[in-house]
Parts: sequence; C-alpha cells; structure tokens
Amino acid sequence: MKKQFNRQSETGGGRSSVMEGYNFAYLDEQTKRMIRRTILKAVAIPGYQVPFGSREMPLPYGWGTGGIQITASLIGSEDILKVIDQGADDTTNAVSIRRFFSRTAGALTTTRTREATIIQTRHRIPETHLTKDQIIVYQVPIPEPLRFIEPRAKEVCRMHALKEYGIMFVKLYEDISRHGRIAKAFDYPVLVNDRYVMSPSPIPKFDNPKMDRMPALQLFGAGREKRIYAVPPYTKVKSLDFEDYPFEVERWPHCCALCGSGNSYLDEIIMDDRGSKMFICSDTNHCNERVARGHKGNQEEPVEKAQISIGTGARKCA
Amino acid sequence: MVFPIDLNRLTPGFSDPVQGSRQTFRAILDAMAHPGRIVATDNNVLSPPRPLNLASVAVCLTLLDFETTLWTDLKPNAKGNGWLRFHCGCSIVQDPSEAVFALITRSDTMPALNKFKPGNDESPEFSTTLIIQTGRLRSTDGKRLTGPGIETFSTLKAQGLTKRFWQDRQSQSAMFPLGVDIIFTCENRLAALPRTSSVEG
Repeated sequence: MKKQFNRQSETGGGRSSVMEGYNFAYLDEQTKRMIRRTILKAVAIPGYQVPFGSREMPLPYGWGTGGIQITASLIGSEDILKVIDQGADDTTNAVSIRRFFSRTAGALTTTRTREATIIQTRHRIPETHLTKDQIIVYQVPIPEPLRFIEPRAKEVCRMHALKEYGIMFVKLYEDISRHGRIAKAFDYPVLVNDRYVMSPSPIPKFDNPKMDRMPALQLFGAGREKRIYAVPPYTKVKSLDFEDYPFEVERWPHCCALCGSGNSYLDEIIMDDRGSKMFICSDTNHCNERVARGHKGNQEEPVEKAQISIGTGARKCA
Repeated sequence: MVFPIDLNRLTPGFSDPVQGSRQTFRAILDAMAHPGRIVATDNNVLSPPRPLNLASVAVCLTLLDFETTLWTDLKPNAKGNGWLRFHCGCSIVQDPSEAVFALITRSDTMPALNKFKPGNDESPEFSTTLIIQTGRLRSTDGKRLTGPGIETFSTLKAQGLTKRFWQDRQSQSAMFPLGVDIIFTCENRLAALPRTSSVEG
C-alpha cells in the first residue's frame, strides 16, 4: 500500500534535443504575434475574455489547447516550465505537455513549484504561494461564466458590456433556497477588479482565495472557445457571495494520509471494493516536499465512510 | 499609403526574428503586467532609422504584421515609414482612429488621446495601442500609478509629455473598460501604462 502512494515525480529538469521540422515552440510566428497581441489586451482589461484565432494543436480540445498556445507564445530557453493536471505533475496530460515543450522549444522542465517561471495548470492552483515574476497559465474549457444561465452569446456579450450580472446572483440565490448554501464547488465565479465576472476555470473553490491579489501574472486560455483572458498581479479577485451567505471554502475532517498536511486540497482515493478510502494531497509536489522534510501522515488507517463537511472548524493534523 | 523603400539603404531587423520577438514580447508583457516598471529590450543589434529608437522598433517588429494598421507621426518622406512597411508588413493609415497601433516620435505635438480608437462596450479590446517615444524614462519623482499589476504604487517619469496629454489620460480613465493602452519607449527601454492604471501627480 505504501508503495502505491509513493508518487515519485521526476526530480530537477532536463533539456532534451529540440525537434527539427517545426518552428520554435511549434506555433508559426504570425500565430504567436496574434496571440501575443491578444494577451496584452487581456492584461490591460482584467477579467475580460478577448477572442483570438485559436489554432488546431496536436492534441484534442479539452487537453489544454488554449493553455498550450499561450505557453508557446511565452516560453523561451531561460524559462523553467512546470505543468500540472489536477495538482499532479505525473499524469498523462502534464507529462505530455512538458514533453511537448522540451521537444519543440528545448525548454527546461521541473516539478518544483518554487523554481518554475511558467506553470501551466489544469484545474488547480499549487499549494505553494506563487511569487512575483512567475506566470501561471490556466487551461479553460468554458470561459464564459454566464454560459449555462444565458446560452445566447450575443446577449451574454451585452451583459458583460453593461456589467449586468443580476442573473448570476439569481442563480446563486436559487442555490441557497434549494440547498441552503451556494452549491457550486468548482469553477466558482469571481468578480475581477470590480468590473468583469470571470470563470476561474474549473479549479475547486478552495483555490479561489489564492487568486486574490496574487503576485504572479495569471493567464487563461480556452482553445475550443477561442478566448484568452488575464488577471494582472495584485489584482482584486472576489468570489461572488451575499452578505448573509459569505463565500467559504470546503474543509475536510481529515489530513493527508501521506504527508499529514492539514491545509491542502485533498483527493479521495478508493482503497478497495468495500468502500474504505484515503485522503491525500492533490498537489503532488507539495506532498512530496513535505514527505521529504519528514512529515508523515497516518496512511495505515484508511478512513471509513469519509465525509466532507463544509465550513467546519480546523483540522487537527500532525 | 505606399511609401518608397530604398532597399540599398535599408537596415536589418532582428538578427534572430524568433528569439528577438519572443524576448521583446516578454519585456512588453512584463511592463504591461506591472505598469510603471521600466524594462530593457535586449536588441542592441538593431539599427533603426532616425528618429526611431531601439525599443520602439523592437515593439513594432514583435507585434505588427499584415493584420494590423499603424498610424505614425513620421513625415511622409521619413525612412522609418519604409522600414516599418518592409520589416513589419503593416499598412500605414492616415487617420489615427483607424489605427490598431500608433507610433509617436514627438509627444509634444501628438494628437489628443480621444483621436485614437477607445474600443467599444462589447469589444473594449478594439482600441489603439500607442507607442510613444520619450526623451527619458525614470522611476523616480514622476507620476504616481496605482491599479492592477501594482502592489502599492509605482512611479514613472516620462520626459516630454505635455500637460494636455495627462489631462486626456485622466478623462480616459472614466471610460474604463474603454481606453487606449500606452507603451513609452526610450533608447532600448520601455514602460507601459495600460488603461487600468490611475495616475496622480
């Protein structure tokens, strides 16, 4: 059992030989110029989705085509790239995107959050605080936060133009009247710089507070939907809520079974066919670094019938 | 407009277009994400025609192409027009309100900011990006900037800008999210003033 969860990530980085037959970082220069112009406008209008001419990439939609196009327009030989998928450095998506950039741009890669200059992510923000001059690139499936409330794109465009977000608050209110709380647990809408309502991409709402006044530059790419948007460093990002139903993040009664962390986002792992389960950090780098520093979890005792409680007190962890 | 290009006297662009434009873009992005921060573009191999400076031409080579229009205050017979047409492939327009980019070499006689495109409510990104050459760029005793990208405040002094320019800029801030974005250049350095920054002093 111990071996099963000893998620060994590759240590350090390595520069492999650059593939021939493609332009540097895969995209042609004209495409990069178009994406670069789009990124600059996105940074100048925080939270606003700028349309761009998204290209077909050598991976299917839903695997990070938007994020990859942003990273390709940024990356250079002095960059150190980290790619995570749901917090993990060692899943198929993360491994292949890292390999893509080491082959097409000769980029150095790492799994250590601290030493990365560009972090491309699918659905998580690392537990380690991001610092100034780092850039985090989010992969976004549906950039439009109002999509499932108002399907007409033209109408949604006008709502953003008029800052008419009443419909979003009605949705949140309906959640409260039906469930007694705002039920959205991921892709929780935020208001950026007091102007645009923005989808933070399907990160758990646990990660939303990390976006507020983050010192790193946040870029969002949606390949299929052909949108790029951004949050500059130190920009106000507020999760939508009501005075009497303030925004709160989910908490667990458990600690990570591997490193004992009490303040990280946990994944639920099914241990056998009798329903016993284990909770471990979703951020593999955070977990590995804690284990390396000698922190230990209680991994011999799988939790029976685990429950996630919303907004309860702090965990008592090792 | 068509400008004659003297191919015998044309100076080269980036020696390595891929890396040159990538490094310059990172410098512009760094500046745009941190309004007021002065960033160097590392392209000393460029030999731009006067009166264009190193940073201005590096920005043009990085961001302009056949998809973008450029308005410039260069005289019609200036070498710079041909240089930009040849290296960037951009079309040069005479009306500032048609320009995606504007290159301004004499900030004291530049048109009012409302002559450029501010974008529209549904597409605020359809606005002009101004590249303004300044005599000097310093991050001491200048205007005080606050807003997204700035932790507390930053200071930027760009020499040669008129009082009217700052009044124009002030009236643009009420139009947010519309408005122009500005890149100041001086020698090989640049700093940005996106529409989000509020300016005092």
